[in-house]
Amino acid sequence: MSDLDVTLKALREAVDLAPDNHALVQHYIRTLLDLTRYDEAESCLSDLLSIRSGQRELQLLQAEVFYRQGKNSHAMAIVETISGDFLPAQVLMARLLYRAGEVQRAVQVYRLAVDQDERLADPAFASLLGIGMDWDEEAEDDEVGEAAEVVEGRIRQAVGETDGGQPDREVEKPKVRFEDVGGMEAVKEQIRVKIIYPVTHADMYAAYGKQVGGGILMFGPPGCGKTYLARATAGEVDAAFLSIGINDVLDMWIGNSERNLHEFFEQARRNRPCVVFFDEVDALGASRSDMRQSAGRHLVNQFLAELDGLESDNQGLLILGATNAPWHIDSAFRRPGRFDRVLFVPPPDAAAREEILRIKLAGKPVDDVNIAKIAARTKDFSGADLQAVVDTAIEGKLQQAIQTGKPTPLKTADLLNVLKQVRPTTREWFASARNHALYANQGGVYDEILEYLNLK
Amino acid sequence: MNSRQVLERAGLLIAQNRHEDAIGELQRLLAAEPDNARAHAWLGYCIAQDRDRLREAAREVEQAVHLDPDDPLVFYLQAVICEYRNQTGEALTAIERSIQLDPVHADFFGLKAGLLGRLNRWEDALQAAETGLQHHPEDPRCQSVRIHALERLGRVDDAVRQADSAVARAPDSADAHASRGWALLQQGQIRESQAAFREALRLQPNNDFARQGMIQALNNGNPVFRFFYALLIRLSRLGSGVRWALIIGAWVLIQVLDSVAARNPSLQVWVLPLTAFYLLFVMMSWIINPLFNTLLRFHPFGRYLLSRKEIWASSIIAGTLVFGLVTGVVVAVTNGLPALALLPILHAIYLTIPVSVAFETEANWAVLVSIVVAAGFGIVFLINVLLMIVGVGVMPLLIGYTIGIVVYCFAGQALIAARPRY
Repeated sequence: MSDLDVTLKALREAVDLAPDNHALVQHYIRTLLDLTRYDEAESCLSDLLSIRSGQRELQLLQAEVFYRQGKNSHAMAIVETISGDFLPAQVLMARLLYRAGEVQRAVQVYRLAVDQDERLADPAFASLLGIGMDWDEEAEDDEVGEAAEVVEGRIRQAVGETDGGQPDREVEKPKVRFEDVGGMEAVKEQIRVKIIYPVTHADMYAAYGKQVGGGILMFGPPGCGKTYLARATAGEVDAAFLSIGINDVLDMWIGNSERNLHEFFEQARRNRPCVVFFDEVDALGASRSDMRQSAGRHLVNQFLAELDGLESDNQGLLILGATNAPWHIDSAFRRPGRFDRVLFVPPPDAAAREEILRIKLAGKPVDDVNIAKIAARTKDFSGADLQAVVDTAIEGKLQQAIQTGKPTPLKTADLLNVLKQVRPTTREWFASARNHALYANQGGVYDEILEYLNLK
Repeated sequence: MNSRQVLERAGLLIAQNRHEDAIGELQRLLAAEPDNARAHAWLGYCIAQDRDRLREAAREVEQAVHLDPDDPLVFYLQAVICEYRNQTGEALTAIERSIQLDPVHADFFGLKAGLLGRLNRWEDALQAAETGLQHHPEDPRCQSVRIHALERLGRVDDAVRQADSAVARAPDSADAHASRGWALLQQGQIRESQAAFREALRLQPNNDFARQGMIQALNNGNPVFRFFYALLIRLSRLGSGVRWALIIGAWVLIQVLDSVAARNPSLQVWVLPLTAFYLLFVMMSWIINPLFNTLLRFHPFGRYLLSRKEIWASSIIAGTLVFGLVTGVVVAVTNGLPALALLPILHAIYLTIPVSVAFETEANWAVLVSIVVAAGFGIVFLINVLLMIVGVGVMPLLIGYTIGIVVYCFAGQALIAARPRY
């Protein structure tokens, strides 16, 4: 038995003898927590609570043990029963709220508790929440001279050149409609139910008291028409279309601020009805636990708050997100009211591929190309891959024409030849997605991938 | 936008695994500032993610070293790229340099510990990992190397204890769970280790370390596998000199015992099982994984775990064994001598050694050599069997085949040890 174990045993005996000595119990439990011996702490507390039930100090300790183990709902259940006028419990509640992504409420609860009793203040946690902290400490950047301010869970940062907010970006009114998108009937139907009918049949939704809003997250291999579909959605409801891509997001991460994100949402709200499209949304909503930098968390939290429409009304705002890597997205994004519908956009099926090939070949010199045959041979090809097939075939023909000086039209055989060289890019994506669907398929989010791969 | 901001942008893209985008950012920066050492180093790192462009990556990072020989991060990235290129020695030199320049960075010690582990210098690896943990007690790489090193040094209980605490501190880390799985596996807690690997795969489904562990943990459910696996693990913990002495010593001993038994038939009863066990053990050391992976393919969870290459290896080895069995029966029937069935079966078992070597080699030339050798042994095997079916005496050919296999047992080790250098 090591020295440590002897000490702990002595402490445990002392606790058993004097279960009412709070300082002692607290010291013992904290020691166990520091040693990550959660099981012992838990069992000790449940023993104590069985004789001294209803003691809120003990219950708070128990909640803390759960909190440290990541059993958030257990901890929350305890904290909610005792936090009435018990301030230390409210601080723990704020931490739990923060963990659940409800930063605004966390700030509120924490503020309330600390205002009544200053001894409860925890500067480290406060800085995470962005209360009363000077952002310069972390930015460690003097050359740019950024003066920054962190307010209530959000950073307000004034950067010289962009002061006064970003100029409005261009709002586009797409002309593409659903009928221009080949195939993908299932996905289109889901979007209709969630986004289009609420706009076209607004009165009916109002009669049933159903709010219009919320979002759809589309995921799937790259190049399969997620972006195109989003544009077509805006065209279908004749709404404005605002799109935010990876580069805009990067600017938000660095130098600029969450305010840009807020501005962006405000602009969308001014242009109602508006389809807001986030391309590669995983760049914006990366899992908060993956982020070491706290700055990243602020942006994610801000995004969540905007989606919730806490300060402003999100009526008439239709939010679409697209990603190749849904597994990197914070699970808080999938709560109701945010991206609550997750849609798998598979590579085009045979009919859709035929349609795509027909569009791609339109206007090119073709000689009786058997499109159905090509479509049948291009399983797993994305729209972008099909484009590559056509391009490569045309290039070959061009080369031939220049050498022989005699242009010949494109034939089925030329395209079939190209198929031997072009590999579908979606395979790599599916190799990775397959593992996620097999091992991390909580709540069946990735069932469609399993179905597509015939693994179910 | 100034250079620091561009680097930060690139850093974010790298953190999100968007290496292609990061390359674009860095190249734009280098167009404006061709002497930015960090940009060169990070560009090298991003390029190195594409394993076909490692040489180009190395050139970038060399340029960075040349431009700023006092930047520890540049040397760290050089070490990482050297590690990708299997240049463990060069990588160690580079990481030593960055530790010299910045002796309190846990990441550097984590890489150093990992490199020492690759060289099987586990005592040193443990020490490096512990130094790193002094500077940053929760550095994930240092923690997982420490667990691995403890386990390799035979301190399995310590390893499990460390792994438990690593998991408690970082319950969302797939690596922590996988390390714990490996430690539990060595301790013989098969069920718990399976659960740990399952959790690791849930958190990070593409974690190869966890996938490999899960395969081993599932196979360990089979008592035969467990027995040989435990023996092989013990053997692998010995120094390579001791290991070879033991293997060759046992072989010599078996030869001596065989010749004694040949003169003294009453001893045969004792010597024969011993010889058979030795043979079985040697065979298992070669084919235990592909052989039991064949069984895994009928396991509801296990069948999804195997990679394409592992599936091929298991198919071919199982096919070879079945083929040996069938030809054994054919030979026995055509010759009317049941005992003769043993010869093709035994030779098919031998044949699995060159086949498994072909699947375990990594360097391109070694793969080629091992495939040619395996094909050669396969052809000789077929000729042997055909001659036996016809009923022609082929003793010299049989003996030559067996001696060839014994020699290849050693040569094959060298082929497997050859690392590809990019």
